[in-house]
Amino acid sequence: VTLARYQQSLERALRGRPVDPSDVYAMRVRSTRQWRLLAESIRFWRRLAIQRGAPMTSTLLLRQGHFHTIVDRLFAERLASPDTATMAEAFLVRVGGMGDDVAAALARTELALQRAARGFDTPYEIDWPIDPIAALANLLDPSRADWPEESGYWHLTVAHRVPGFLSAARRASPEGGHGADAMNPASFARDIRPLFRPIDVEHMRPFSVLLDDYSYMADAANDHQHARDVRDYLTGIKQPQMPIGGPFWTADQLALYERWMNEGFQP
Amino acid sequence: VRPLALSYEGHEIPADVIDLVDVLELTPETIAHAGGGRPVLDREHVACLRELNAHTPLTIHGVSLSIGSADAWNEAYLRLLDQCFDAFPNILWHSEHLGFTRVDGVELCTMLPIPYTHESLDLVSPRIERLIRRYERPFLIEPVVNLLPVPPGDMTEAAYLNAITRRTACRLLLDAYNLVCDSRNHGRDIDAFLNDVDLRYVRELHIAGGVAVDGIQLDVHTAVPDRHTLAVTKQILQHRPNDVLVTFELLREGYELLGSLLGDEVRTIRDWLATVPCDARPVSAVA
Repeated sequence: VTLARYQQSLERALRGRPVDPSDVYAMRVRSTRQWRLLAESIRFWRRLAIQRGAPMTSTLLLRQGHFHTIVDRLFAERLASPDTATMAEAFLVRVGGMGDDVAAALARTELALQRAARGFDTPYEIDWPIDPIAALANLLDPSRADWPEESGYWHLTVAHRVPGFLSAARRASPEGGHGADAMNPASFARDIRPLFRPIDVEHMRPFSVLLDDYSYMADAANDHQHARDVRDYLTGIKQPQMPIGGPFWTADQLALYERWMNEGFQP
Repeated sequence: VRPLALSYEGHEIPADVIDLVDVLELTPETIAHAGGGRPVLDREHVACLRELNAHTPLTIHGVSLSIGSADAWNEAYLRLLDQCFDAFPNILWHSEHLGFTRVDGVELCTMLPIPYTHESLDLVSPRIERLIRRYERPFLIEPVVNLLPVPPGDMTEAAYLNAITRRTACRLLLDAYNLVCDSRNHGRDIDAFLNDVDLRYVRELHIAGGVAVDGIQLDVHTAVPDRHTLAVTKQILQHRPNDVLVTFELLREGYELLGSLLGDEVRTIRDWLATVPCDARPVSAVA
């Protein structure tokens, strides 16, 4: 058995898919109790990675008894990124779209807080059915704060420029729809492609830089080299700064481009 | 006095504990997030660690390079290493596991050993040389724990490690707790391994403690090393002069479990290490 086949057999088996019966080793290990334990340990490490990367949302869902089910389903449906660094983000996006208002608001908030902490300028607006500040305080230290009761509508702004990144206010009704939503990532077609002028696109085409082509711009090869190179020329990290002669992109436009990259190069 | 290192995963380390250790072992993936389609070290963790690094050297211990993947190793991990070497001036060496964590780009969320074959040796050795050339720092390889039965191969693990150290400038990182896990789970002969592997190339030794589930000892670092692990540690250290760094590996969650007892536990390990005699004679079986 070659190294590649050995590894592919194990990977297939770990996903619960049939193994080539002629692969004696893979067939043999699948029937051992160590195999069952390995599968369990993989679930343990996934859960741990998510708990570390999304501690507040994980805590709430653990209290509700839904955490393990949601995480297992996330991986069964192959919705989580294979990159351990982004597992928690995939989890937050998933929970942020769930029906549970509090859990969804919390996941959106946690995602927005992480982006604000990393210096993103984009303000995120999130509606809550309970006092969000009290809820976050309780999740961070249950011994010091009670879980808040349902109390109408609250509106939370999460932004890097806000002290502590958070500001909450009570509202008569949900606001919805204002500002960026962490659950609604930047899109190439909607947000990025229109930023390139026809002259930019035509100018770069002879250099095999296809600014209007999503598959080129989002190409994952070499660590998304294409997208990063374009970003570096737009910011002037690489010279000459583009577009040559200006006008150069504004800080907001550059932030949007950065957000598109950080949010997974969405089409 | 034998130096002692402690693992660091981006959590706060009490000042009294920092004073007890000579080196911090950083796993860069634990202080990184995905940014711009690639892993990026968290700024606040870098700032905090740079302060610590002014007085305390670092070793870098990765978990996601997947050096043994047949298709390709994980290039994104190299981006993290680049950032580490840029950010921290005082790094003694870096290390990785002799295994694979991804297949055809799919993350397994676990680390599995590679078969000890000539084919895998021909794959891993040039990769190790590339790492050494790229970073111009010592590089150590750590054999991984075998939760599953050992895959069929052309040679023993000890012979494989000896071949790597003969072919490359790589040095070895052994994990006493891994050996204990393999011994308990598969009846592995630790003495035979230590007799056969060329201990002269060992530069670092991991110690840790974990839990047994369903009668199987798990490589989860949540506790202090037990007596069996310390006995194996002693067995290795007796053959090595004082240039082997001993690293107490503890998950972030292990720190929380030990709480205020951590300082006492680290002090106990440090005191125990000072009692281990050193007999630096060459290991006869290897010579």
